[in-house]
Amino acid sequence: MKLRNDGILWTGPATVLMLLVLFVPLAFVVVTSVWTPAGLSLAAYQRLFGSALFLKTFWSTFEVSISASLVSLLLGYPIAMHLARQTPRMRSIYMVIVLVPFWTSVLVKTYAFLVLFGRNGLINQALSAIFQMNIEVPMLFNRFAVLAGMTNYLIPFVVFPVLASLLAIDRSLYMAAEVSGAKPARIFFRITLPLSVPGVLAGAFSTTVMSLGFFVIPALLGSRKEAMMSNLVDFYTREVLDWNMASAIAVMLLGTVTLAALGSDLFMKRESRSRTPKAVPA
Amino acid sequence: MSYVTVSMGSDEVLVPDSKQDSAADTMPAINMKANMIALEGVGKQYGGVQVLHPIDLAVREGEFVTLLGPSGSGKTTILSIIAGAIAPTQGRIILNGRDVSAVPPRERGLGMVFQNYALLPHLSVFDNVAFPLQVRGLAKGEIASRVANALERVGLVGYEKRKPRELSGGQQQRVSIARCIVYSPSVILMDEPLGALDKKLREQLQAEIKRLHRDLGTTVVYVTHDQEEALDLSDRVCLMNGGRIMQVGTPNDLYFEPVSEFVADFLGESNLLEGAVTAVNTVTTRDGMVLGVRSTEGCCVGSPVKVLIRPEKIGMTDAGAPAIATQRHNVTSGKIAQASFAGGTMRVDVLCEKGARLRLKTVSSRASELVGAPVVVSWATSDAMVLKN
Repeated sequence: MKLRNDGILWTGPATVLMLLVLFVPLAFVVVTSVWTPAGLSLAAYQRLFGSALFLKTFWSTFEVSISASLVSLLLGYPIAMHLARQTPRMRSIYMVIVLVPFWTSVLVKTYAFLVLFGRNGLINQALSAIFQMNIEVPMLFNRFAVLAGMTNYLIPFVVFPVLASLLAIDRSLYMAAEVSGAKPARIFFRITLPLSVPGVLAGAFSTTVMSLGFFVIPALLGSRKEAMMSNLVDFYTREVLDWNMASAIAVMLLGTVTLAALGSDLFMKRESRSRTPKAVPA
Repeated sequence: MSYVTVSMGSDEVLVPDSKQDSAADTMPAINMKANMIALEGVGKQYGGVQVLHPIDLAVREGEFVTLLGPSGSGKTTILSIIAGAIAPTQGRIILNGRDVSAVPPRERGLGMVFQNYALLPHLSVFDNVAFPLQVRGLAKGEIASRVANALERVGLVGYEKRKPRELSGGQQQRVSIARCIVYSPSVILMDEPLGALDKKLREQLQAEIKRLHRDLGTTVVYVTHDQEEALDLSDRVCLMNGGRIMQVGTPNDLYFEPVSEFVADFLGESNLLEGAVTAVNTVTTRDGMVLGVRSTEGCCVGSPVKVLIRPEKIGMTDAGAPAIATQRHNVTSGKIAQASFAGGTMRVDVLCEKGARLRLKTVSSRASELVGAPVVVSWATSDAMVLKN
């Protein structure tokens, strides 16, 4: 049999482009991280692990990412449930509404949050007007602002996988459960939730991994306490002008994200395997 | 109208049916049981389309009633309305003497079996069957013994720990039946439960459903488009078409006393000869055959009718051997036009002298010897039914 060897024809152009714009700069970053005037050395990495700033940022990156993912899940799940109940026609309309913020530039949205959350922002102004006194709820440059911004961005990434899982549930299961006497709460916890676990896991993992590399939102809405690894890279590049360190942090970030992605992928595979026992012939 | 056989286990009653007024006065009064389900003027509209015309239907306690009809006839709509999945546009649903029109499905106390089994894929067989009992807050020991009992009834002891996906279609449907009988609902609704199974399994499970119904005495409303299933299982069949009830009656009623051409045609094979009434109990067909029929009651001379003769009621003899034919009232000669072999029996099409084509069933012989042979066909007048147009 003749092997089809024309794959390179289809993927060639994209491969060349990716090589030029992604892998070459990436290789450059990796080289920079181990290149010192004295020659090749891992000194930058040594300094990283001795740096309280890096270690703190490393953990807060995880903290912020995981909490943003969880908040998105809590807010996105009911949206997905609502979408799943609609007729296909209404569903596609609602999906557009879910996607509108997703299509808006992150930068624009983030500045919009500045206007909303500021000390004299719309929310504080409204509160002051309602209670007839000067109210200044601190909503900006803190964890709340960063989570709000990130959640706003991440929700579609939760809604769609969860929705796919919910739509895959046979509706007659609900009917069967209802006819046999089950109330909505039991149906949710015994049927809907367990059967949507694949979507929940996919949403949670992908949003966490995505969050690890966030830059604009923590930079504009957060304080130093919310600084994430990409902000640290920026700090070393533009303020300290230590490209050696900046590159080392970038490599660490890349490694972390890759490991997290691989780990969640592995977990998902194992999970789906445990859910699909081998089919037995009739 | 006389009612032929009423010996099928549970007693028969014909409900007053909007289409069939004459049926109401033929209720056998013996051992009347209460109505378990009564639909009163129940109809359903979808965006101006009447998918179910207002119907009245009553199902008695312990009765096995089948809603039979082609797809789109409204049979599944009726089932969904009884279950509470669909709210009717008009009418009332009475379950066990209580108006449940506004009661949610979970409070109707029904059981349901679906074509696609509707088992919870992430739960074991045990947990699937235990689900309705857990809903009812039963104690663990009680649940275990009831589940064991239900699984024993459907022959699935030893499968407790399996997941639905590890079972065959037939086994999955048994689990689904067990999940239904485990909490002894007053009514079990079955929506084409055998529809997804192959022929052999279907027959097997059909026999089991019949046995379970006999043992448990639960009221069953069964939906199918398979006439053999309906005739075999049911105490009564409700034949539907185009959102209307065509006839309600015992399988025998429907087969031997169809009220319309649709019913005659839907159940079994039929020969329908068009003609007009020419005298008492006599119909002359279009092509001039004069037939003696069972009864022309209710027809005027000259009114157009169709005469129904079931293929298995027509006898055939060689043209040279007329002896047996004389006992019959309707005799005509013809030629075999076609013969098709169907195992033990054979379908033979006879072209009669006058031009009518009659199909009949006979014990098989070699087809090649038959085609073209001159024959005499005959049938008793009592087997020729008049259907008013």
